[in-house]
Amino acid sequence: MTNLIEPSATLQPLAPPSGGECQVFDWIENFGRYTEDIPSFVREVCNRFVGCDMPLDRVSIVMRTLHPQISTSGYMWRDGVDELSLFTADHQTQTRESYQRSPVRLIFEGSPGLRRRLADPDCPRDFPVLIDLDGEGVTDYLILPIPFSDGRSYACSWATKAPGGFTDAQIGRIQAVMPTFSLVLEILAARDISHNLMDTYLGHKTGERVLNGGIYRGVNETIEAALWISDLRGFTALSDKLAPPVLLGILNDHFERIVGAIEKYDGEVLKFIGDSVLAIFPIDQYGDAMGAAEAAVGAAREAVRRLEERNVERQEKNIPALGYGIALHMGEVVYGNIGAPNRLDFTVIGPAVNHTARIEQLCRTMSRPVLISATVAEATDQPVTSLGFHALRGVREPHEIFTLPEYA
Amino acid sequence: MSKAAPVIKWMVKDGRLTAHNMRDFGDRFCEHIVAARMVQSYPILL
Repeated sequence: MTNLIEPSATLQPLAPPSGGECQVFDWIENFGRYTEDIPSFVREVCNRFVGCDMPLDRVSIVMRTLHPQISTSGYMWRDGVDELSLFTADHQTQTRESYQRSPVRLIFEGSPGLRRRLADPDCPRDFPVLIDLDGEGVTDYLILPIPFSDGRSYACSWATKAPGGFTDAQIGRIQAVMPTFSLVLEILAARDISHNLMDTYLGHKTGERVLNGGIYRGVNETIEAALWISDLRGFTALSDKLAPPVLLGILNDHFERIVGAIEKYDGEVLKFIGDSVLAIFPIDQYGDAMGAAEAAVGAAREAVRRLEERNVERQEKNIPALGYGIALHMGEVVYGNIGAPNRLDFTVIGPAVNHTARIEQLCRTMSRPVLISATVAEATDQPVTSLGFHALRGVREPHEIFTLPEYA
Repeated sequence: MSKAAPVIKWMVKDGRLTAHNMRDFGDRFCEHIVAARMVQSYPILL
């Protein structure tokens, strides 16, 4: 016998009757929102339910999120397994058959819930997941919406291997806990999303600073760092020649390779300015100037390797290679909020940033992919080759400029 | 059942899903507090 759960009007009263059930309610109400993250919260709720004689064997949560690469996050708890399984889906997941044929889709589209009593041989196995669960010995499967205050609903499924499935009282207890359970999940999900957005738009470390309260103008500090400014050669000419989608594809590919190289060496990308990238390798993060310089030089080498890979592919298709320049310098910068009181940028400013930008401009005239200032050259153990002294626009004294031996 | 139970029930089940903003939620929360006879009138809560 199958049973489609009716809308919330038919749910059991919220007030917990007594006993073990209270422990789940009380814990969620009093402590749930203080848990570190969604997996910890779900694990605690499930373990407490089991401790109150709820025969749970598998609980799965599926929620949409706001992330550039991930559309949906899932968490699966299994009885006796300490760690939850985490799974994610990309932004194409909704077009896939696995999603289309999943009960999760029904819940996301507004269904009030679904129950399949797999212990009953006549119960339809009308979703592929039910066939899998039947094979695992699951006797009852319930999937319910997790309503969020923005009007969207996500999904939580509850499964048991108990002979005969869940009792009516057990189903009532699960339904009764859902509003409070959903309330805490929404709080934890909102926290996750704010971190994702900060990571995406400000970078991980800078995002953490902003979330920890560094949100107003005047919050800044002077730091020493290796600085990175890079750009794509001939971007303006390309902009005139190529259709915007093609140009965007080139730019995104370029940034992906540059950012990947910087992040491989734990640098922090602060911003994209047109076709340029500004990044820092703070000295206190690496312990000393040598550590920061080594990281910046390593990242530059890695970026060149990745960009040249792309250029080989382009040349194989008879498309001209793309030029680029990377400048590395080291110095003191002001790191923090800069802007109008209500519209801020968390970035670095100072003469050292200007010097880096000037050195980067030399990459074109000197036809070198990587140029390094004397401060980085002195700090690194890597061999470097001097290219002589060069005037930098707006800087009084000529500066000795270096490159890596392979580009000399 | 405590006097607070219906207020909590409203908050977790309906209040968080139907309030338009924090002020609306606050107004309706206070109305529920008064209805539950937890206080005589809600201005004293403010």
